[in-house]
Amino acid sequence: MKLLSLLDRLSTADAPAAAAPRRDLLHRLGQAGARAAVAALPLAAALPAQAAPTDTTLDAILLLLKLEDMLVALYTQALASPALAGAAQAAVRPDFERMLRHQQGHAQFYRTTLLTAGLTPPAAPRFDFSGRRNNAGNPELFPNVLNDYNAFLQLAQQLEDASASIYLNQVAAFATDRQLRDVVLRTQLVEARHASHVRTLRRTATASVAVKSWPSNADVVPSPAVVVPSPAGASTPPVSIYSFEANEVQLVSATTAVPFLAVLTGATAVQFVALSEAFDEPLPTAQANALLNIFG
Amino acid sequence: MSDTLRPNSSDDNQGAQPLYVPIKRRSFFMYAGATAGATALLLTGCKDDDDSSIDAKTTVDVGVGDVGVLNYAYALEQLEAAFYAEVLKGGYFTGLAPAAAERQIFADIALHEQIHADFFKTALAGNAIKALTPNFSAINFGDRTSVLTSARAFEDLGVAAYNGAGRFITDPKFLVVAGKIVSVEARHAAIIRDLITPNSFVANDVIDFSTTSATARQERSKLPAEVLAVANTFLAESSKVSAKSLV
Repeated sequence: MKLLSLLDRLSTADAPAAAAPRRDLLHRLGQAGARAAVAALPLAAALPAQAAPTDTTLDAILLLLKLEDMLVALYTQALASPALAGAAQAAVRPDFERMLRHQQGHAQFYRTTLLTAGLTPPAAPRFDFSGRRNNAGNPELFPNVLNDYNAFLQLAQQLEDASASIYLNQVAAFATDRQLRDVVLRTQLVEARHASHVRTLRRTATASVAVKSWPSNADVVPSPAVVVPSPAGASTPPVSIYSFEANEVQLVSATTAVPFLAVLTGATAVQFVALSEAFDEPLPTAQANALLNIFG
Repeated sequence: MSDTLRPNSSDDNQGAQPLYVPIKRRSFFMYAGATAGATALLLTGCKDDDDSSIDAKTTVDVGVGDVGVLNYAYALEQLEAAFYAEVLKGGYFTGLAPAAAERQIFADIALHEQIHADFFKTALAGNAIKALTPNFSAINFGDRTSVLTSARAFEDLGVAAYNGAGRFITDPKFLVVAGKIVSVEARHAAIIRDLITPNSFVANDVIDFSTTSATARQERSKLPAEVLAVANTFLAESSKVSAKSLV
């Protein structure tokens, strides 16, 4: 990666460890050991589906920037299109204007972080939410997203849910940088609130869709669904982003699962769907990149 | 428990003396909490193995390191689980129509919080703090507004607490697990807020709306001491929680 080698050169020519925090960030961004450290996380050993987080902090920042750029583009385009411009949507426009401001703030944060580390942030790609990849000859994967409020909501829900999950997986790449990690964790929560709200809007819309405010196996399955490569490999069909959310097993060590069935009794007798609802799940980096590449 | 307390010659001092006299322990503890200086005396007067013995009756300290952070989370999840269990028994919830959206929402959240509490209890195993005794006398479980505003307070507190405690976690495994849980807490907070006022899911009191500060457009965070000051108002005298090492 060009940026990375540039960073390496910068960091080796750099000042002492006591330099300003931003310079410190630059140093840590370029640390060659970061890759190995992340790969050695206990979680990686515990959960095979996430066993290959080979990202550096820089890779993670670039991924999250593209994610935020995508959400900025989604709301910018929708607010300027029939999906949100009609009189029937006047009541919910402020919701999306508010979310747009958040996403712009998040994207700006990553750009500033890169700039202060001496890097030129990439420009936002030209996002196409029809799934045609800016080529009218390609098949339309997500029809009417910008023309129909319900189609828009359905895609927005999937992308906001995916955003919360993508953030969760990238947290590990910031394990050695507490300042950035703090920011990433807190930004993740804003994405989770967005996802919850979009789901609430779908449930309370005139054309109500039976989805909870958290991903649930009881939700109506989106169609068309945003699909990503299966963790099982290229020979297996792509899977919905919600296939990762469906996990009902939580590990407390590499091999020990929490025996919820034994501890949940009485008035809160276990309901299976609650086990997966109670935890949001990370979306691995390969799937995250594949998802972003569908749109830009 | 007082019989497990023992003098420690190296740290012996006058302030710690009452610790060895069970009858006066409570008054000493109140005194020790009165000033920062006396609190320092308490801390220097007690070795680790003494702490748990004292705390068992008067207050519960979450401990140090990752165990401390997980116990801190466990304490908050216990409180939330107990709160929602009461909600399900109260007049507001039982009076909801069988098909009401709010019935499903509160039933789901109650299960999630119980699952979270059970998760931490299992993860902590022998290091877990005791089961806490809540005190919800300030909440009217028959009243929708009281239940919703209390729920909002608990959820926002939980989210801000995780935000402020993430920096104390050293094992990345716990960081991800905590993230998976708090992500759902944020979803809870958003729907509870939307039930109170639509489109208040991220009002300015939970997000820093500055465009220039280092925390622009992120969730606000609270340090353990701030969070516990609020949480303790919902805990019985025997269950007050402290996080002395998480500062």
